[in-house]
This record gives sequence, C-alpha cells and structure tokens, in this order.
Amino acid sequence: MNIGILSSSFLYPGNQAWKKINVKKTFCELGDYKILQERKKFDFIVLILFISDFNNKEGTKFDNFNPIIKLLEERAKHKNLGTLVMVSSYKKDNLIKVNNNLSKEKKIKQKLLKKFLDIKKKNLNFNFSDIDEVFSTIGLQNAFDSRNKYLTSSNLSQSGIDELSYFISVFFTRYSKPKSKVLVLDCDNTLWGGVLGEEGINKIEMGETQNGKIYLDFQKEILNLHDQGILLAISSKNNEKDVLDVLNNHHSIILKKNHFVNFKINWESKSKNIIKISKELDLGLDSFVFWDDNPLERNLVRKILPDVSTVEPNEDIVYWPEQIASLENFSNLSNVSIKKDQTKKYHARAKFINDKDSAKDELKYLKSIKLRTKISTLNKNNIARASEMTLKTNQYNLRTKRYVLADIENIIKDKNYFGLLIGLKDIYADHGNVGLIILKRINKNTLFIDTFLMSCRVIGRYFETQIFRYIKEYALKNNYTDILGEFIDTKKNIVAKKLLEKHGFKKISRKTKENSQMYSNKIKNIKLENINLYD
Amino acid sequence: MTEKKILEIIQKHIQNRKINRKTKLKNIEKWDSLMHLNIIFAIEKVFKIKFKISEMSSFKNIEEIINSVKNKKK
Repeated sequence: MNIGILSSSFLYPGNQAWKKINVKKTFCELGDYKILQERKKFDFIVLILFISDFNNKEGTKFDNFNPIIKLLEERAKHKNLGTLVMVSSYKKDNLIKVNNNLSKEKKIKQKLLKKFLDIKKKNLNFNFSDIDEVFSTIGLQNAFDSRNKYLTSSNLSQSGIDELSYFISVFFTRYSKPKSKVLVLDCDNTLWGGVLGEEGINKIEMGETQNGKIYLDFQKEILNLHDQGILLAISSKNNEKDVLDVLNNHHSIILKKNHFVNFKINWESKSKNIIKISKELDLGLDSFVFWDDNPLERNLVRKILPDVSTVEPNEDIVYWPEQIASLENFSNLSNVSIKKDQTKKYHARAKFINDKDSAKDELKYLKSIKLRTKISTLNKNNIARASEMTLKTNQYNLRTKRYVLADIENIIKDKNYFGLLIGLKDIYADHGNVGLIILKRINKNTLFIDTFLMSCRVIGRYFETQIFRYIKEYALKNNYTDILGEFIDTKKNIVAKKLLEKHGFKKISRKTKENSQMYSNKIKNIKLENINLYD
Repeated sequence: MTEKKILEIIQKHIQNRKINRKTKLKNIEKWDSLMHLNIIFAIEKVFKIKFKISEMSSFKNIEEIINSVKNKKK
C-alpha cells in the first residue's frame, strides 16, 4: 500500500514518531487538497484537518469545507481508493463550556462528522475519526504547543505527533489484516477462577468475590464481542458435563451455552481442537484468536498453529476486561462488514454437523444455507485450477487420474472430451471451484466418466448429485443414451465408492484392472435425489 | 549522562556518529530547520523539558543545547 498524508497543518515529516507507520508513506504539500482527485498516485490518503486552520478574513465557516467535502465524496466512489479523514476542532480558548455553548470550531466539526458519516454509509472504503478523541487520552492541551504555531504553521506538539502517528499505524495494521472472527476461550482460570474439576461448581470464583467480579467483567466484555458478531468457542481440558453444568446452571455466569458456537471440552490438545473448530465452522485458522491463561498451552498453539492469534494475557487479571475489549484483532476497521446474527447461523451449521442422522432437519438446513453452483466449461483461464484438482484430490475422486497442465490443454482441444468445473457458494462462504468432471465420448450413444472429483470440504451437500445433474443435462442435449463409469480403488477414495450406485448405476463385469469396478447406466435413469436443494 | 543522551538523539536523527559537543549545527550535513525542530522535540520529550521559543532558534552548536538542558534539569 502506498499512502499519502495530507494535512492543513505542518506535520513535521522526518519526525521519529512517523517511523511507527509501517507502510510506504509520502507527506503531501500543505493543504494540497487537489491530490484527493488523483487516482493513481496513492491507494490511500490520510487527510488531517485542523478546523482552526481554515480561518480566513471572514472567520472560520463551514462553507470553507465544501470544496474538500466534494472532493472526498468523489474519491469515495472509487472502490479501490481508501481514505481516512481526521478532524480536530481544537482551539486554545476556555475549554470549560456549559449548556452546549460550543465553540464555532466544535460546531463545524460536528457538522463535518455528520457529513462524513453519510459518505461512510455509502462507501466502505471511506473512514473518519475525531482526532480530539484520540488526543484526549494524553490530555487535549498536551497535544498542542503554542510555540510551534510561530515556528512552523502547526499547533501540534511532539506528543500530538506521537498520538497521530500511533493512531494511523494502528489503523493500518488493522486495515490490512483480515478481521478475526472467532474467539476460542479456555475455561479454568480464564472464564472463572479455580479449577472446576477439583473445586466443583460452587467453589469456582465467579461473582461476589474480588476476583470473581473481575472474571464476570471479563465475561461481560466477551459478551460484548459476541454481540458485535464475533463467534465464541471453548477449548478446555475438562469433563464436558461439568462445564456445561456451569454454563447452564451457575447463578452468576454471564456467558451461557447458547453464546458459544462450538465446544471442544475434552483431553485432546488445544491445537487439535482448534483445527476441528476451524473445520466445523469452515473458517480459516487466521480468523481465530485464542485466549488461555496457561503459558504452556499458549506456546503450543503458537508453535503448532502460527496462523492463530494467540493472546498474551496481562499477568494481572484485573486488566483482562479492558485488554480483551481493546484487542485489535476484532476491530471493525476492515472492509468486511459483519452481520450480527452470525452465531445463530453457525449454530444451525454446528447442529447440522453434530447430528447428521436426522435427515429431515438436514435437508431443511441445507435448503436454508442457499447452496448455489456456478459452472464453467474448461478453458484457458481455469485449466490451472482443473489440473491442480486432479493432482491434489485423493478422497472424493472416482478414478484418481492425474493430469498436468499440458494434459488438460490437450483435453480442451480434443472434441471427444467435455470438461466442466463446478463452483459452490452458500451463505457461509464462496468455496470456489470445488468440483471437476471430464466426460469422454465412446461412440455416438455412449459417454464415459473419465474424471469425477470434488473437494472433501463440500461433502454432505448433495453437491455430487448436482454434478450428475449437469452430466445428465449435457448428455441429453447431445443425444447420448448410455453412460459408463469406473471406480478405481486407491484405498484413499473409499468415500466415493458408492457414488455411482447412489445415482442409479449398475455394476458390470468388464474390468480394466485388478482394483477397478465398472458401472453403466442409461442417461435417463441417472437418479437425482434432493436436487431441489439447488433450485 | 545528559551529554551522552543528547548526542545519541542527534546521532539517531542525522544517522551519523561523527559528532561531539563542539560540533557546529550548520556544519552537520543533514541539518536543516525541520531536522532542527524534530531534534529539539525529541530532546524535550526525553528530558521532559520545554525550551523557550527564542532559545530554540538560537542554538549554534551542540554544547549550547547540552548546557540549556542541564540548566533546566537543575
């Protein structure tokens, strides 16, 4: 990223404080707002406005800002251009004001912030902040230095520059990192004090005692994260029954069972559990944050799963509530907006994974996640993915034929072959291209399934049946009547063994080699169950 | 102690170790008015002091800065 920093005040480029910002940055000329129009120079512009700088002969007026607002609105429309606007209304005057008797600068700031919010609502790539709030952490007056107004054209003090730079650097670390979505928590000495297995539900610390109150405050902050759409999960070495008893029945507990999307309460390693949670939720490990009081567990997770952000909790639990509330991982800055009903959705999913046997629920659930496919015939642009799939897919693969890029290129050219890549999307994720078929013409009536494979990630969604639907459609359209299939047992692909039978194919005695089983079917008899899931 | 720290701050800014208390500011290659201010700010921050505006622009060599800081710390 290449950012431009533009301001109405002098910002002391070269000041050591700016080293904190770890992205390529350029200080633009003072007040050169035209640069906001530039679409090539910077992908991101940080604009810092001090309202008192806009003090011309007629005084400071809101109208003075109209040209800048116009430029910002224009800029925000370009999705690939980012903007962060910071405004300060600081003016050295009597800061003690009562009865809403705001300074002119403050009134202008409020109006500007309102305007910025309107822009933000329409454009996610636009961000704004009231810098005075940032400065208030060091005391507003400390952020400014009257001497500097006469030395340069800036009121900022060294501390003010420090704070600005800190804010911008945090902004960009958050901005460029994907937002974490899942918080995995330990139980003993994390959600409550003491060891549940030894002390029992009535003796653990949670509630009235001094420490107990801290643990409750910690839970409150976690609940807050949950309400913002962060998913909560537990990984604890305990008896599941005991922990669930606490979550359901403890008189003080704030975090209840239904706040969590996933529990791994067992004696397995935490890293194994986190991997399982990641698979069940279908979320990458880099969207996980792990909190555990035990340094051994933390170090193991750090070592085995470096993608997971393992938090180093403060040694004194009194600081935990504020620490978890201010974790950068969950910050709302990134361009991905999250929805608040995430937990519900994932509960449905977890339920689906946990009790797959109740077929009726399963179909209902699958219908609700809005499965959608996207097909593309093999072409120059997707052969790389197709080849990769043939080389990597071991499990759900009928014949495990491996094709390097050149092979696929030949297949495209050969009129006897027809290949299709099938992508899958549901409300959780776009899984990308996860299915591949290659059909071979045997004669004018008969097709042969040369390749049928799909990614294991999407098993259990009748995706394979949807793929057969495409086969059937293609065959009927091209006047084929018969289809042959073969299962070649590689010991790794047992999961695909029944695939052909499931879709109405019958075994035939022809054999190409020892571990092969041939099947045949009439095109019109290809059985497509529950295919309405995809309508 | 004060002297050593001030020299360190200046060295860090100008990325050159060849200076001492007698060095004249105008003879330092990378020195300009902006660098001057940034260094003064850094020194103020480290020693928790404030220079008068008249002082800030009057420093001619490093020794004057050191003496001013020492006076303020007394």
